[in-house]
Amino acid sequence: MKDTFKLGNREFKSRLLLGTGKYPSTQSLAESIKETETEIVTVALRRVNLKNIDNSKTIISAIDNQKQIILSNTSGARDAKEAIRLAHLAREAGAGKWIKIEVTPEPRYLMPDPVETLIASEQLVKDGFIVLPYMHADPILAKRLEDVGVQAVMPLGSPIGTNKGIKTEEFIKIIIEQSNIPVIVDAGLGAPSHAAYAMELGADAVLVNTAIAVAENVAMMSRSFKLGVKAGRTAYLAGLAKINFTASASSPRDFL
Amino acid sequence: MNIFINNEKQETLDSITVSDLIKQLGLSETAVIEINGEILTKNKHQITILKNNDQLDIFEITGGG
Repeated sequence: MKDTFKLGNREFKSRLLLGTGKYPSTQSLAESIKETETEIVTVALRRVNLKNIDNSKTIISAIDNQKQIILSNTSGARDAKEAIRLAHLAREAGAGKWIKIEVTPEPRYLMPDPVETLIASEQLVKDGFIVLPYMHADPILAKRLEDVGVQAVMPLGSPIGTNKGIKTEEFIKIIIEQSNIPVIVDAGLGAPSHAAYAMELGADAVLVNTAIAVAENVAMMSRSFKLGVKAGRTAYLAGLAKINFTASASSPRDFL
Repeated sequence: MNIFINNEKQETLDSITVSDLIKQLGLSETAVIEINGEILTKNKHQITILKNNDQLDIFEITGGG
């Protein structure tokens, strides 16, 4: 039986979502898309630099619309109004109706603003978008977002680009327990072991960008994360052994 | 005449259409344009003629996480 997850009326085999920022080249990104076997790829929207227009090998050229969904993000938005504007611009740019809401008013830690994220999510659901909000691992916020109709929640592991791994595990566990929609752990996953851990906790998927894009060998790191996600997911399905407070010998202690 | 693109003044021919401007600037198909704060849908690019002092914001898809 296939182990897929449903999002926006589609079924996905891959539980590794891929970000497209920070790659050394479009070719490198294309390799990463291939090696991760990702089916959902995030992009951003920025003002065109008129002094430096180069359309020869754009991000879009690395994405195969038959195999990957484009998930535009609203990165750069500092409030709901900017996020809503970016979402509509992304849709008009041809990026589709899937949107990752990212409202980060403070640049040092890029923490997501919960209030503005909720406002933007509610409006964009009404505007017909498939909304996936990036958020802190706040179980109450996750429920509020679910109530306004988002299709998944994306709680952070640790701040964007820090590669610190999962610092929010206790709260991610609560969200996973209580959520009726997919939980995609996003941000701060710096190693395949972090991604595996998120999957072992029961996350439906993870999103990785920096750790793969800045790796010395992007293709190898892409494969490694793919394997990490699969390992974590398989372990979760197999039933992880419970944590014990005291030792428990592997072999009988009598008859020595 | 003068228009503003991403807050920078640009000189253009009078009565230029948005389509022509896009070609002139060498923008890609995925570029999206707001004129005076409103998104201009692609089906209107050929028929929209720019006026003096129009403020354009032009965006493009780029990498992001």
